Amino acid sequence: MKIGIYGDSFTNHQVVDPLIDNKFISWVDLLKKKYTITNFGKQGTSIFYSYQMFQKTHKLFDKVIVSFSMPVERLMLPKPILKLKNGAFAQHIIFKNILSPDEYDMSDVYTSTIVNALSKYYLYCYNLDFYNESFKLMKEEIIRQRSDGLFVADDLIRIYKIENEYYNISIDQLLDRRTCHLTSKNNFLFAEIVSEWITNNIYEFNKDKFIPNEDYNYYFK
Amino acid sequence: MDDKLKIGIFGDSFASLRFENENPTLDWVSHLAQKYNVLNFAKPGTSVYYSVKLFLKNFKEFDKTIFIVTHSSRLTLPERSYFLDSRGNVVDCLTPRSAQELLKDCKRENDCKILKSVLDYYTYIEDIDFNNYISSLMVNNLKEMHNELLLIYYEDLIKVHKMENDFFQLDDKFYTHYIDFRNCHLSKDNNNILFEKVDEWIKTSRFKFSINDFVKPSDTFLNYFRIKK
Repeated sequence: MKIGIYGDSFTNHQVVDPLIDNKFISWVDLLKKKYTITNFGKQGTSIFYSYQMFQKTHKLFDKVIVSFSMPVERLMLPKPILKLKNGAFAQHIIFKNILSPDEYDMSDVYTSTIVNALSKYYLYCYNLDFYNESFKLMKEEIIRQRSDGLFVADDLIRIYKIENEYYNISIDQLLDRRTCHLTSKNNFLFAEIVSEWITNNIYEFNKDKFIPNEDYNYYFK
Repeated sequence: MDDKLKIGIFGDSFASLRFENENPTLDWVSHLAQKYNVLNFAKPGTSVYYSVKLFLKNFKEFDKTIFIVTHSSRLTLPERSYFLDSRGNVVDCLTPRSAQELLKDCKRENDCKILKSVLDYYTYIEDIDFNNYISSLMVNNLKEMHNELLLIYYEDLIKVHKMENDFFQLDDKFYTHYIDFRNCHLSKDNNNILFEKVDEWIKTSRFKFSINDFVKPSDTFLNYFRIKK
């Protein structure tokens, strides 16, 4: 059985911390041990990225798993053109972050031109209603095309919030080492319930099972 | 009580551009309005999203609706950036050409900033694939909502417009010197033909659009074009 997975960092994400050997395995990588999985999920990507990948590939798979966990405000540029300070090039942005573009290499003339254009676009032309409608239509179209798929965003975000509440953390303040934004225990648990769906077409999500029990220092610095 | 069919029209200049004084000939929408109870929501220069919003709000009021699917790249401004042009019209949607034109006469600083940001968007940010995908998703969504919907595509109408341009031998520089007074961008003859096609659809639900069904204008150049003062 061939399985395709689509989404953002909730399906493919690993924190790179040179000081720590990161041993946390994501729910997707756990599933890969049992099934033939192609993971199109990519950290920091927009729904349009997933939508395009889905349109090109979903017919190749017996089952699809999709996470619409990306924010509406995340935009995909036509090409990876924004030079980051680490030398890589970014293709996706979150609009509200573009006004304080700390991560971009503004000494690169082209990057600073684009960032400048993006911030003006955000101030004067950004039409949230249009992006909301676009997001909704892409989501509905994916669900319409693969009504047999598993759509996991709501549950993944639910787990993420349970964990944040448990650890009493606010986002962006810490180095968060959770793979796919979930603790190790919850990556295992989530892989188990998805595995049950893959094998028996039964998906049973019980949020009470996802209360974390690992040490705070294990994940946060 | 008016027992005429209620027709709603949505779209851009191909359903709304009218020069009452300079060109008294009837456009296809005016022909329809003589026969049916027509409400025309179309506005020149507007986007697919602009018309989609109006459609979703109003389509239930009509027996039949006609939707001109315009070019997917037109930008719909957020309400906070609407402004008035020099003739007092609300500017809510823009193209690179309209932004460029408005910038020439722009007096208010904030309006100029909006227009420059639109031009930068088209230069650096626009994702044509995204706009095409979203436009077609929006239009497909309309089809599911209203069975009595006729879609007329910009790509088809522009072929008729260009056929007329070739007939009148208009070149790229033409519009810098002349004003085009064709109602809905079409000659009287082709407005008649388009009306007949739409009327046929209203009566039979059949619509066939082929460039071969349209004709070379019977009027002269001077009926439609004047030198800019």
